[in-house]
Amino acid sequence: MVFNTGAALLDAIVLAICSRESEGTYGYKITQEVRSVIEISESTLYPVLRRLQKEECLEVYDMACAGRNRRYYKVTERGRVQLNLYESEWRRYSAKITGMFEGGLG
Amino acid sequence: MNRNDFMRQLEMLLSDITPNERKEALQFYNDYFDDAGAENEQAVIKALGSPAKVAASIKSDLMGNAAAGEFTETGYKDAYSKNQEVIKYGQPDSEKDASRNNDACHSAYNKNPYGDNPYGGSAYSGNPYGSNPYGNRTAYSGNGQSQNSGGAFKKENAQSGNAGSPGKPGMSGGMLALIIILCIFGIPILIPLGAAMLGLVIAAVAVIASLVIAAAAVAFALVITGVILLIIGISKLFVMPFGSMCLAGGGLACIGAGILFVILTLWLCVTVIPAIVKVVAELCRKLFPKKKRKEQI
Repeated sequence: MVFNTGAALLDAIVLAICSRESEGTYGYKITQEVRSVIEISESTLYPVLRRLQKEECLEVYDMACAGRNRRYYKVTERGRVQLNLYESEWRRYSAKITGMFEGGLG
Repeated sequence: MNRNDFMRQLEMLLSDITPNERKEALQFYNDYFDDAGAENEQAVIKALGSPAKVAASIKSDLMGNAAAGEFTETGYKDAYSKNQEVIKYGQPDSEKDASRNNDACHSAYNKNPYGDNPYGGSAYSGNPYGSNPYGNRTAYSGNGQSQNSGGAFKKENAQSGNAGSPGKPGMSGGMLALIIILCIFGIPILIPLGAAMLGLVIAAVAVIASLVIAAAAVAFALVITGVILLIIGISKLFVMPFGSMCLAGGGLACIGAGILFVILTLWLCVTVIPAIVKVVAELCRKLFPKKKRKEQI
């Protein structure tokens, strides 16, 4: 990818992924899904998840799976608000850029 | 390297963070390996890079330094990872400098990230981060850099504010003030310490000098004694041959010993003292780069 991904966009992507499942999803799956849309190294995701958790945008809980506990990440109400904000901001931003490309109307 | 090696190294590298954070991080990566499956173990290790890189990404976040890095197609570049590749796609030089100087910028704490929100206030009156306890977070408001309207998507600009652009010396000013304050409070310690160092140096010089003087004095005394004994021995040779021969022999022995001490003195002056001075100078250069001149004597 030519364009770099800032922390805000990465947060938005992670929140979007977590919000798609009502019971949340787990670290490995989040990483794989993020990597299916943007190219980032796998070691990047843990700090992001931790940060979102500390900011109470994500909550974690453990669920038994195949004889062990798997940690699930689920979007909180606050995370949902934050995601909405990111989404509207992204629409505004991308519309501006697209407009710029397609006719310089801004 | 297998999974166990990886996790062990990671645990070791994370030994300086709080036990709770360490446990969480290790659990995450343990889960990660579990979920990837044993057959993907090597692929995961390769994708994660080195334990050092993983540890660096965890720590840089813990230090409130999430803004120090940048997410690119080659991965996350942060202040701590050693392998900072050259940024691709011809970014301007100032940005390269900024990312190279990342270490100097743990200043996310110093900045008010909400100071000049490029989004403008009205759209975000409901922003849940208005009273964010994590004040060091910069993601939502750009980088506290007014010129940068696209700031939210390019976090590294937070660095150019400190390291790259000359217009914002906030960080270096603060550091300077800190250093000055440190010096002021350090004076009561530094002066006695300096005096003690000076005393030590003077004592060392005195010891060496006294050694040299002692050797020279012994040499002088032995030679004089030897010469006197020899003269007495020769003058009395015909009066009491055997006694005077003993005296002359003793005198010669004294002169010989005296010459040995002369050699010792010369050796001290020519070889030992320059060697000691050299060693001390080397030591000073390593310990106090600035004091080197003063203490070479």
